[in-house]
Amino acid sequence: MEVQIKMPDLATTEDEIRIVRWLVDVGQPVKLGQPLVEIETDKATMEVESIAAGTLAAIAVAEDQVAAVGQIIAVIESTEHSSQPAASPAPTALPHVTTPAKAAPTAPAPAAPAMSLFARNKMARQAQAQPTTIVLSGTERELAGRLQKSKQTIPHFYLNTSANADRMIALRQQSAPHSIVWDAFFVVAVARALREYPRMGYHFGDGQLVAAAADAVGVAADIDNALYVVVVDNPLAQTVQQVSQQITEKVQRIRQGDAAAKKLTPAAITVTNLGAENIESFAAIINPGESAILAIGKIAPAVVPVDHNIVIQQRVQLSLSVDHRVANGKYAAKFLSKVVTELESL
Amino acid sequence: MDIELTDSIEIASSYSRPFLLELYERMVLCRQFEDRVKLLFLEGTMPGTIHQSQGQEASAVGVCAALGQDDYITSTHRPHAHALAKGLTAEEMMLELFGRSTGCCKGKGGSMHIGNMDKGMVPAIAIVGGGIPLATGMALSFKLRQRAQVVACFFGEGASNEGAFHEGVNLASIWSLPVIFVCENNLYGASTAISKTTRVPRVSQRAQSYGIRGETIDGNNVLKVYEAVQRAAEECRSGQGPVLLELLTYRRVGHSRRDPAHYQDKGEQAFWFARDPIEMFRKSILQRGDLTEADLQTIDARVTQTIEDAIAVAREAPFPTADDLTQDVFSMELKS
Repeated sequence: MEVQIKMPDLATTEDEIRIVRWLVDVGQPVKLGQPLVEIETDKATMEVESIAAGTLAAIAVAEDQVAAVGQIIAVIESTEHSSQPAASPAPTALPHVTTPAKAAPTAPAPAAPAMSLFARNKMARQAQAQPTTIVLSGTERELAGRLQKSKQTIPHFYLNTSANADRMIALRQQSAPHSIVWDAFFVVAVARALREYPRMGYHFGDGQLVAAAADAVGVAADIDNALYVVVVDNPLAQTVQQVSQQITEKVQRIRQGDAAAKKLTPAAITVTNLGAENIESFAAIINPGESAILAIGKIAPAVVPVDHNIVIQQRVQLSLSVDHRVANGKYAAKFLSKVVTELESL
Repeated sequence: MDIELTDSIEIASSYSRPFLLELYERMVLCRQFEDRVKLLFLEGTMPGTIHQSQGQEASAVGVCAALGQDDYITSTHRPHAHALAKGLTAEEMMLELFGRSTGCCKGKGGSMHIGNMDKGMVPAIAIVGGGIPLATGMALSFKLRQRAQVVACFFGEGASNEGAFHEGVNLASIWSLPVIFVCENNLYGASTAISKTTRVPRVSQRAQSYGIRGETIDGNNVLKVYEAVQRAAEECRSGQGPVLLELLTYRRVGHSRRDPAHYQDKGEQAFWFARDPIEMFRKSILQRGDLTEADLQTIDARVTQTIEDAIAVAREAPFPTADDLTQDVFSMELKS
């Protein structure tokens, strides 16, 4: 006998409940009262117990998807007396049912559910409509929480300046055919400036300044629409080329789904770059556990007076967001000036 | 004031076999009823919300076993075990939970207002501490009418910090009313640990400030509870009430069915789960030698059948109609 497992009414304010994890695989036996699925309501993550004993025949709502209260989320082929009343004779119509790969006898195709024209039209309209809500992944929600906490609790101030990019452009041309990622220059410049202004290597914690866990500079990276911080370890001991290579490798590992590489580890300062997106300059939010974040805009030609002459230079806009509890304006300004000097003399 | 929480139950030889079996059956009925109702909720066929009492059976059954049929109880948002212990049937309760017109409150009360006046249970009061002044009023009525009845007023430790507790207990104390204030201390007011809300180590210590007797009892030991309530009832009937009893117990489930109880400490859970009131009692009565595992299994099976029968009846019973909406709202006659 088929027993339909429906999403129980466990939410307090939300209509839809997210499936976190199925605790039983399709085709596996299930006991009455055995935890079947882990779900997440607006209040808590919890396990939902099975209301029948038998075999998990099908899962209708995949992990990370949401289900409305009362929606069928799975079917159990019950071996014994179940808690449910006799099911209606109509076969169970399941959307997106995943059946076990080794399911030997193919079940007869479920008949289309009897549905009124109005209901069908309504469903069609709903299918076309944009979703009214978007479910965030666990990582996205963690990031959202971190950013909100940073913006709400860290007193940011912002310093804007620009640097001559000619030296970086020349170095990139020299290194051909090996390309250097732009971020590598800024990582090295920041690391060198940190050596002279060590206070920027601390972050505010519990009424005191705490040294960054590692001598590292981070690079913010948007990989497949998710935000990560790629941490470059010990950049002072490396050439720009080596730093560039390290960044490329780590991005590659994240893209391949390496969980260790995805893990958020704080650096001393993070570099974030929207130059490729044609942004001139922007103010970034400090990654919690760090003192500052350096936001890099696009490199563009600018008219600059040099020795009473008008010169056209390739220049890059830099904005430094600083935690005022860590550094005062003057100290941070000197640090940023040092970054500029380093960029121009790489 | 400090008590020892043992994991075995001493049984005086004066207890009869049928009495012990009755205590066992009532506790099993409470547990199986709750476990089954949980599945009905997961199944989606039962409406409303629910607060379950798995783990607290000994306090409900121990208290009610010491009361007479015409004694009353008041209950809380967690009333199922109280009701079953006071003699409501699984069927009248299942009907009520399913919202059917043949339920004990004609389908208008549901889980949190379950009760039956004829069986000595005022429909449960879900407002935390709400039953306390009410019980005091009932006891005043018994006293003025010179009845030998008592009322046992169930509430949680969280309610002991409500203003209603102070007003109700104080009034009962100055008039020496026949109320047994039964504080079921399951260590958590919803998700808040008692240590975060209450500075005195024992709720029963508060009795002193009202000039009444207070006592803390192992609420998972059904016989200790029964004996304590017997003593308290005698005191109340002889005009020496009220009494404040604190029953130490533990919820095996969340505050409500939406609560996974992540706040319960794992070590604390292990300690209390090992002191399950039914398991402890089961082991202890088996050691007496005059009843067997088979006797208890017969009872378990009978209870299961009773509940399944109740569910079958409840699923088919009629819902209240629109005309029932205005019934039982106002009392047209004053009862003397």
